[in-house]
Amino acid sequence: MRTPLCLLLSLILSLSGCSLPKDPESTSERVQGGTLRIGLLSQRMDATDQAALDAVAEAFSASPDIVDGSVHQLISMLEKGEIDIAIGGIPADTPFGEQVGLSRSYGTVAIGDEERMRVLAVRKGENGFLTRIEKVLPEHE
Amino acid sequence: MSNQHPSLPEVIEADIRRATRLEYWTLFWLATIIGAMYLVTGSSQAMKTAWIEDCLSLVPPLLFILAAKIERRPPTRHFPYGFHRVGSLAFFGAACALLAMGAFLLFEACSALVTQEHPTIGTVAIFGERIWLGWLMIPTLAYSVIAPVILGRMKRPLARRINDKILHTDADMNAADWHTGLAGILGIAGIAFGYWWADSLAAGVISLSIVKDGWRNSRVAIAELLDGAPRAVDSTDISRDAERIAAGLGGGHPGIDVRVRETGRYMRAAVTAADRDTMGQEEAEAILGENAWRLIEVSVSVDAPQGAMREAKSMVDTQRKSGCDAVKGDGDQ
Repeated sequence: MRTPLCLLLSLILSLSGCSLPKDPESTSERVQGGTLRIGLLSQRMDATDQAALDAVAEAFSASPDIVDGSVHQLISMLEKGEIDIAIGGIPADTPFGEQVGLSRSYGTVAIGDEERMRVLAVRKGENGFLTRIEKVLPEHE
Repeated sequence: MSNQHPSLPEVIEADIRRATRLEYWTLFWLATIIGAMYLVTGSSQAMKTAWIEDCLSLVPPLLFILAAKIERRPPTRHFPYGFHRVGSLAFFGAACALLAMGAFLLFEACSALVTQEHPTIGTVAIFGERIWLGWLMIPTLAYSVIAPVILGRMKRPLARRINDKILHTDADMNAADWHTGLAGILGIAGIAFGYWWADSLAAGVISLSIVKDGWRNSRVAIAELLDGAPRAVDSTDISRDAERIAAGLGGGHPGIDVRVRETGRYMRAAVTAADRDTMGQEEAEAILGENAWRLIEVSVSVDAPQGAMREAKSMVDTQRKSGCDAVKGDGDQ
């Protein structure tokens, strides 16, 4: 029983080491060494989001490019892959959760009186991109 | 009434006990599978579907255990025929669960393909490592396949021996479970390679056979509830036992009408003269007055046909008298 379990675990770890999962729309390849197109959903970038963005940009050796637009314009652009990331005080229970893929949380955000988990959004189904982002996002307790 | 509750042959009793034990094991393993799936589901819609469908597969084993407990209860004043038909009702419930599962799976798969829903699967932290959740879903799905394969294979021959359609439907449900588990593994592997449609396509293909099984079982269950001819355990054909009963009781001879129906795992046959009503119009009217049209069949015990008929006749006579009085009384007020 111990041996197959070890084999399975080492298989999982080795698989997670290589280039799988892939992106259906190759976001990772496009961003790698290129431009990270960012849709900023809040008025101003705060420290938590800035730290997350810096970590992602560094991991892909990409130069960040902030794209202007209203929230709905930016979400729609993210759906079509015209930007790579949407960020800016997004709570984990955002109503846009159906249209975009949400990352794990890397902090909290105050919405009204409540503290919610703070996440960023990527294009739906870009699992390779999301996985690499989640590996470098700042941890929080 | 007592002859409707004969003790079952020892082997059948033992098989029913074994089937009940199997169903308790099924509930246990399903609970562990549902728990494990819940842990790795995350926000993934694909896994959520697999999880909901695992919950649905709890229905047939629960219904089997319930029906086995109730069906041999003695008749009561409110249930003079006993509870044999609880087996038919539970079978209908199990068949509906299977059909619902297939339909749900098919709908989810089609709508995901049509709207080009790209499944998004994130990561999870294990021992300080960030791992793509898909790599954990695959072994979990592989685990979810093992128990249904084994349990389903054990249930099928047992279901045929004790003539239990709930158990047979549950074996179909187990097949559906492990088919969707395998499809899920293929789907997640496909997603890992960047094929967003892999999971929905695999689920859609599998759902077709589940819908087919569910539809067949539902048809048989409805036939059973409508007093249709008894069907075989594993198809919509008329059961061979039913045909043997009909032939053995003189069906096919001119003037004799043999009808066989099924209540749960038991069969009931009625032998009547083809060209005669079981009760005359006059007697029926004497008993029920203007509601006589509601009484369409009277069965009389074969052991004492003469005595019973005589008793019925004398009852008719007394009823006729008191019935007339009652009618008169009603008219007066």
